Amino acid sequence: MTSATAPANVEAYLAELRAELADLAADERDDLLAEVEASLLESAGDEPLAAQFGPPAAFAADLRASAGLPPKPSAKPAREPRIDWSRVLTQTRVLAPIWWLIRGYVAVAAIALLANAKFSARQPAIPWLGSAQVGALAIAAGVLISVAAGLWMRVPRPLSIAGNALLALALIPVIAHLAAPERNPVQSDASAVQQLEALRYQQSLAGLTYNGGIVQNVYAYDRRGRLLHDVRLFSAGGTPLDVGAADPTRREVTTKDGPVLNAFPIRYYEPGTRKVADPDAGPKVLAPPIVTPPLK
Amino acid sequence: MDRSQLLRGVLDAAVLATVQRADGYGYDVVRRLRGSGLAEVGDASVYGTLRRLYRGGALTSYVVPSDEGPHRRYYGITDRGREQLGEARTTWAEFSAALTDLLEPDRTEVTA
Repeated sequence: MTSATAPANVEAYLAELRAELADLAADERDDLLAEVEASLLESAGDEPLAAQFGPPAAFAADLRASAGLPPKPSAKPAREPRIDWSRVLTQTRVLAPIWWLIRGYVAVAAIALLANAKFSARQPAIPWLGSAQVGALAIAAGVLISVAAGLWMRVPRPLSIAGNALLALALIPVIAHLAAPERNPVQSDASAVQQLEALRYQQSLAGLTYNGGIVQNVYAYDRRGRLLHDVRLFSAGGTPLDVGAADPTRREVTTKDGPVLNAFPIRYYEPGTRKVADPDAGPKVLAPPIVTPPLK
Repeated sequence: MDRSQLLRGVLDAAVLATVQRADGYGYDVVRRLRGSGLAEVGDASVYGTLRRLYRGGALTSYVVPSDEGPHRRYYGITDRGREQLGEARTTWAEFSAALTDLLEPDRTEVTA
């Protein structure tokens, strides 16, 4: 501890006060400090100034309050208004490996998007390159190359900036894709099967199916192997096995109660006529006569 | 009762009254206030109060050269300051009488 009467000590205390009052108008601050300086010089005793007058910050706060001046702004006074970009860059450099990982993926995903490749339905982040596994491998390779390039490859600075900027730009479509993957045609083994099944189910609701396949027409042959006409089919519950709906080209089959849709085979008129061109048209099947004795 | 808290509200009047008796510079005013029994008076708050009263026109100031150390800025009371002190005197008389009544109901007369 230096002697409180030493002018150097007073100067130091004043300097701290000046810093505490840095936000005030210069003349206001100088008047206050001039007042304080004279008094400090005279009143300073043998004990340290801070012990006698309190810490400079508290002293300054008292000065402000009693002088009717605003309190010290809580935010740090702008002593360093200029951002030290080189320091920011150095600190940001720590995050570079994270960017390497991201850009590796972005490169693969962007190329896949550019090539209009499909993406895995379950993992929309993974491009569908024949299979999701290949897509995942491509991503892993991209990330590995990117990290390796970041660690060891030395390219001219402008080239490096341009490349990274390009990949940063590519982030936009990739993120857009990740946010709304259904915009791209979704494809995978599983989803294709599901879609087909859904389609079949919908169609089966409207007609007949056999082992999951749509039955569009039914051809009945009698014991002797002759194609039958206008055979009416019903389910065990008595429901007519209708297929499709009446359309203008479909041959209309009518009973006294009205048109029916369960008469097979369904025949179609020649366009613009009411004539069926080939009433015996049927599947190319061999239906040899039945040799089992008839039931009655 | 926290005396420094009480002082905050009456420091203007105390400083004005001190300067009215005799012009004084910053530390001189502090010393005289303390001598009057206001031991807890803070240096910083007296300097700040002097500057504020001066800015508000209640005090005038002039510099007296000093052989030893820096020049001393003396403060003297103005007409406005006297007016302000008069108001403070009335306010304080009423306030202290009311509080004395509250704290010492048996006492019939307030002695100075």
